[in-house]
This record gives sequence, structure tokens and C-alpha cells, in this order.
Amino acid sequence: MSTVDLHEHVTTSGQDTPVAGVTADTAGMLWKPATLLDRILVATDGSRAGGAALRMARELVARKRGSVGDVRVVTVLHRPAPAGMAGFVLGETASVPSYARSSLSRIRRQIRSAGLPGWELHVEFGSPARAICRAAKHTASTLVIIGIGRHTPTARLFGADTARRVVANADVSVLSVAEDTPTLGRSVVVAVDFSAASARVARAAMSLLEPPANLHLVHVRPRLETAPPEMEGYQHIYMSGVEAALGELRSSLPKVDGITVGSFVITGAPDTAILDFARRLNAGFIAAGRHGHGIAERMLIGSTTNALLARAECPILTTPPVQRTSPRA
Amino acid sequence: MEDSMTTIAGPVPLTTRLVAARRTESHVVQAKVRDAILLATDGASGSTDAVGFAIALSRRTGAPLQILAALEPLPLGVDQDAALIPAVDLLQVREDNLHCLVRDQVRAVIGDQPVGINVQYGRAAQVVAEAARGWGARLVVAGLGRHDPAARVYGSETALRIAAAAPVPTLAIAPGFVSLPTTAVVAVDFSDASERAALATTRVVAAGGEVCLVHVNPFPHDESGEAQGWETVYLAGVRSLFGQVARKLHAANKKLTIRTVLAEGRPAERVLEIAAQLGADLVTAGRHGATAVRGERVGGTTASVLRGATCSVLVAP
Repeated sequence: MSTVDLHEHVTTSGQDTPVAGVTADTAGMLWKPATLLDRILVATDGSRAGGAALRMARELVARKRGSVGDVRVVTVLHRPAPAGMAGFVLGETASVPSYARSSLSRIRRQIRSAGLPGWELHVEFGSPARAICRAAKHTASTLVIIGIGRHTPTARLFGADTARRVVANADVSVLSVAEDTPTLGRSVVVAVDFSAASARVARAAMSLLEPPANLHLVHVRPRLETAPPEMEGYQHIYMSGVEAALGELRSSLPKVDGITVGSFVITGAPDTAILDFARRLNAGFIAAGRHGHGIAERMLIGSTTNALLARAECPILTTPPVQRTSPRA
Repeated sequence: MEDSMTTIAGPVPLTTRLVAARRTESHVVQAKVRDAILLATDGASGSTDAVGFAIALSRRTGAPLQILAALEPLPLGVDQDAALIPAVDLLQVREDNLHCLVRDQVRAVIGDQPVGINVQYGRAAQVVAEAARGWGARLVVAGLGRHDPAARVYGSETALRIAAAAPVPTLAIAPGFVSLPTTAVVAVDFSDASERAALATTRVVAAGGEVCLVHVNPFPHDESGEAQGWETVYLAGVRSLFGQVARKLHAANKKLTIRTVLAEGRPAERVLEIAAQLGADLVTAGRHGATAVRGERVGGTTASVLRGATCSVLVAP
């Protein structure tokens, strides 16, 4: 156990907490299937999307046979925090602001119906996305589940935006759930760009699958028809490199009985191609890794993640980048 | 078996006789000799070793040898002065002179045997390209000639122009490199041209020799996620293509040792550095031909290798 911790500490140097759900080794030796589900934080505002997130958490906990999942729920009061209070756990303190009483009791009812009665409710103040990220850090959660509202234009706007911000800023994996599809199904499409991020997210996705299931590694190849002749060699390298790298990624994933891993190369605009492919395969969810900040976001998956969040018809799993420098302030 | 045929020593192995081309474009009047080695020389000292090499290669492989000397048009100023005397006579004098020079060069290697030498009027690059096409040559041998200031005509720029225009691989022999190469460095960018260059190399390296495939990654190492993904793909692609090319080379010539090297930096510099480290006597590169649009041309890396090499250079179209 101590060697595992040491390994995680070494490979994620400069980071105070290991990336949830991901052991950063490449050999697949230290893969722990249950890590991602160790401590789940569900974000809800009492809406249908929040209910979907709670139901997803209940489904995932049910998969961990034999152990009651460690699940907390967070909700955010969109107001400045009262003096001397950053947030509180409902029931542990009497000082519930009067304006929040009705909405908090609605959320407790929702937890009882869509989740499980024992889940504790954390109440945070301030901007929703920031507060959710903060709560994830305080509770040392390994996975954040958040709903994406869809039915009304405003819900879509705000819902998707909060989810997008959480995905972009959280230091843990995030599962974004649309309100009408609170299930992971039996297959996942993993968007692969061969960065370390795509290897991480493939492992994380695998840990959420319950056999029998299919994991599809999908690389989107940019269209290269108009490349200049000087690029001929690079095109050859790219084509044969993609093939070889997909093979390497496949064999680097842990072998799990009942989970079939396939790999595909498709062509098109990354987001549209991934979504089309997922729809055709009737994939249960889509997994995409985040690289980090700055220029990396431009490439295949960074910007693609946003598009996926805005348009996906199924849950989206994202993993955070491994921080190389000191944590952001 | 390979050494048993000696075409130079045959009765009239070189089927050509002096072709007295005049101011018209050169005409190829002889039958095709399949798989011939075309030796392009200007008779000057810079191409002496090219002559020796071509004859040695012809002896080793049994390939017939064609000797071609280009009678370059005089610079404009000289031509105007020459108008004072009958121009045809001047051309005849120059042609005879060139023929004698080349004959002496060849005799210095093979002695007093009958030798067929073609003298064609025109720019060296065009004349050589046309002859190679017309005669079905499989390899052009010329002098790299850079180290001898006198070898202006067949200097490295001429070698470069020949390599740019020739339809077959061009081997530019550096002074002092008469014997068949034993260690060749192939600059590989995995274009079709570089693969042809690698295959052509296996036909000129001596048995038991070593061919070192060098690929230079020009992209600096970058830690960001975007570059990381590209780098993974890039390295995996290079590894897999190296394997493919090495297998093809091995199939083409089983007597050679094939090595692969992946380097980083500026391609031409690194290739020449590695060639120097290995003590290579041949550097090979593919010509990048975007033939349709801009006519024949040589890629920047290949041109730099040709200009900077201190050993012989093979360029494949």
C-alpha cells in the first residue's frame, strides 16, 4: 500500500493530492478499479438535471457490491457567504439561512427519492462552479457527478455552463449527466489523441464499466487531402504512428474479463465525428481527457470537450490534467 | 558471380562512338542498354574519382557502363568573342579536347582498352537527364568535385543540378572515395523518394557493409498535452516505418547490416554529423520532387547534404 502511495506521489509530482481514479503508472500494474468511485460528490440544485446526477450516483454505488459508497451531495446557494461561514453540512449546524430553508428541504426530498437517505448534504455559497470545485477539494472526492439541464433554453445555457466550468477547473474526474439519460449503459467511446490525458481517461472509463461491456478507443484524424508534398513523409509517419499507438494504448489498458477493447480511426471535425460515432454505436457514455491549460486546449480534445458537453446526448466523463507546476492559486 | 562479368574489358562493351552533336539539342542515337551505369564526367581532376568509382561498380555488378561528357555552351561573353573565328571550328576544337580529356581519364583506370565516349552538346544536367532516360540507365555517377576549385563544371552545384534533373538515382563521388562504400548513412523522411534512395543505397554499398537509416525529428520536445499526443504518434510511426524500410532493405540485399537511428534537430546538420561520427563514406537522401508545378527541384535538406558532405552523396528521385 505504501509503495502505491509513493508511486502516486512520485508520478504526480508537485501535486498535493493524487488525481482521483487514476494511478499514473503506465504499466497497468497499479490500476485500482474502485478508485474513481471511492468518494463521490454529487452536485444538485434540486432540478431534474440534479435528480439525474443523484440517480447516476445511486447506480454507480450499486455497482460497488458489498460496500456502501461514500457519497456526498453539494448544493450551492448563489449568494455571498455569511460572515464567518464558508459552507456547512446540513444537520450539523442550526444556522440555516431562512431564505434557503425551502430550497434545501426540496433538495433533501430529492436526495431521498433519487439518491439514498444517508447521503449528507453540503451547502456552499458563491458562484456555483467554483463552489462545487471547492467542495470537491474539501471532501477529497474522487469523482464529481453533475447534471446538465437541457429542456429549456435557459436551463441548457446555465446548466451546461456550470458543468463546463466545473469540468474545466476541477482537479478530479467529472461525470456530466444529461437529465434524460441517467445511466452509463454497457459501452463507452473514448476520444483518443495519444496524450497522457487520453490514456488516463481510458483507464478511468474502464473503471466505470460493468462487464460485459465494450470500450471503444476512437481517434479522429484531421483531413489531410490538401497537404503539400513536403508533408508526404509526415503523413506516412502519422498514419502508421496512429495505428501503432492505438495498439500500444490497447495493450497498456488493464485486461478485465468481459470488457472488450476495440480501436477505431475516424475522419472529420473532432467533436462531430466523436458524437456521430457514439450515436451510431449507441454508446452509453463518452470519455475525454483534459490536457491542461493554455495552448494545449486548442488541440483535438481540449476544445472538443466543450463541444461534447454542449451537444452530447449521453454522459461525458472527463479526467483532469496532471499538474506539472505548482497548483494554481 | 558478380565479379565474373567485366564489361569494360569486352570487345566493344561500350556501344557508343563519338556522337558529334552540333548546336542542336543532343540526340541519343544508340539503342537502350538496360540497367547501365551512366558516368558523367567533364574530364577535369574533380571527376577522376567518379570515373574510377563507376568503372569499379560496373566491374562489380556487371552493369554496362556509359560514359557521357557534356560540352557546355560557352558563357555569352565568350561566345561573342568567338564570333571572330568560325564558330563550328571552335565547337569542334572544344569537343575534341573534351573527348581527349575524358579518354585519358578512363585510360588512367583501365589502360589501353577501346572506350566509347559520348560527347553531347548542352547543359550538363539536361544532357545527363536526357541520356539517362534514353539509355535506360539505372544510376548516374558524377563527381561531387567541390574540393577542387578547377572543377567548376562538375562542381557540387552541377552535381546538384544533375541530381535534380535525373530520372534515376545520382551518385556524386567525392574526391578520394574511389572504392565501393562500406558504411552508408541514409537520411530517411519516409517519403517515397527517401525509400527509393534507401533501396538504391543497397545496390552500391559493398557486400558486408552497413546501411544506417537516420531519421531526424525536427520538432523540439514539448511537454504540453497537444505535443505529447503528436509525439506519441510520431515516435510510434517512426518505429513502425523504420521496421518496414529495414525489412525491405534486408530483402533487397541480405549481405548488408541495417541499423536505424532517430535523432533530433536540423535534419541536414544532424545527418552529416552522424555520417561523420560513423565514418560513413556515403550519404543518401531522397530528392523531393514536386515535379508537376515547379519542374525538377531538390528539397532543402537534400541540397544542404549535397553541399555540406565530405563523402560521396547518393540522391534518389
